[in-house]
Amino acid sequence: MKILAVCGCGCGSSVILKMNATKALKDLGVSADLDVSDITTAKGAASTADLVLVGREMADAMPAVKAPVIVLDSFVNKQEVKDKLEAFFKEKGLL
Amino acid sequence: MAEIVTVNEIELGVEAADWEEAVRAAGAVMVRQGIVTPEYVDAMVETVHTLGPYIVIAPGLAMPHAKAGDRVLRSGISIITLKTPVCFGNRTNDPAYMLVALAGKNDDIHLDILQAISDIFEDEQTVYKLAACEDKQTIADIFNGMEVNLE
Repeated sequence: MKILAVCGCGCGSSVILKMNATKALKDLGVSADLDVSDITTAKGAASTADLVLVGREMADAMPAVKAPVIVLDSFVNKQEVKDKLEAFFKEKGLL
Repeated sequence: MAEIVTVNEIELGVEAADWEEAVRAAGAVMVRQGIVTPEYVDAMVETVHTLGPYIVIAPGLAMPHAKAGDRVLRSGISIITLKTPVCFGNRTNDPAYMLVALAGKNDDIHLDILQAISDIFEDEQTVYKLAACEDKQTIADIFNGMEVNLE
């Protein structure tokens, strides 16, 4: 499982998202590789990802990708990240 | 752990008519403190123009930043609270009461800084408490990892 967190420059908010997603996955007992990318390179980076995490305001600018995309309202709300990841993995039958 | 921020990088009750003035005010602190060049401040504004209001990363909290290029002199942050909150056009997180501007030399924003921001603002009420705080040292202590009671 490879997960990509996307933000405008790939150095600030997406890194926070990655930290919180890493913690959430650990709590959920799911192992995955997390990476970050900026919006301009997201299409290429997402081509090998199984899941993409992106903030709501960036979602419109996201290029179309094959991988499912989870849209988040807050980058710092650990509970939101965890709830949405949990729902995703349950739907996929991985939890 | 080294200090993330000092009182010199914090301004409280800043008056800004709109989001751009607010970002420029946070940027001016960074320029004054030798963290970035004025061109970096322009780049932070431009980032919002080109990529939209996603930098309001949580309710009430904006985190302006930009690609470093050669415009970042040293990694650091500035923090401003606003006298009157401003809207960036973010559908879920406007208006912003507080800005934490980031600069990372070589685009390497220190993980300690991002972890601190993530932990401090996990409780969504914190931003409003900090925005109402009238003591720079209290805010600096919170960012530097000291236990501070905001009540």
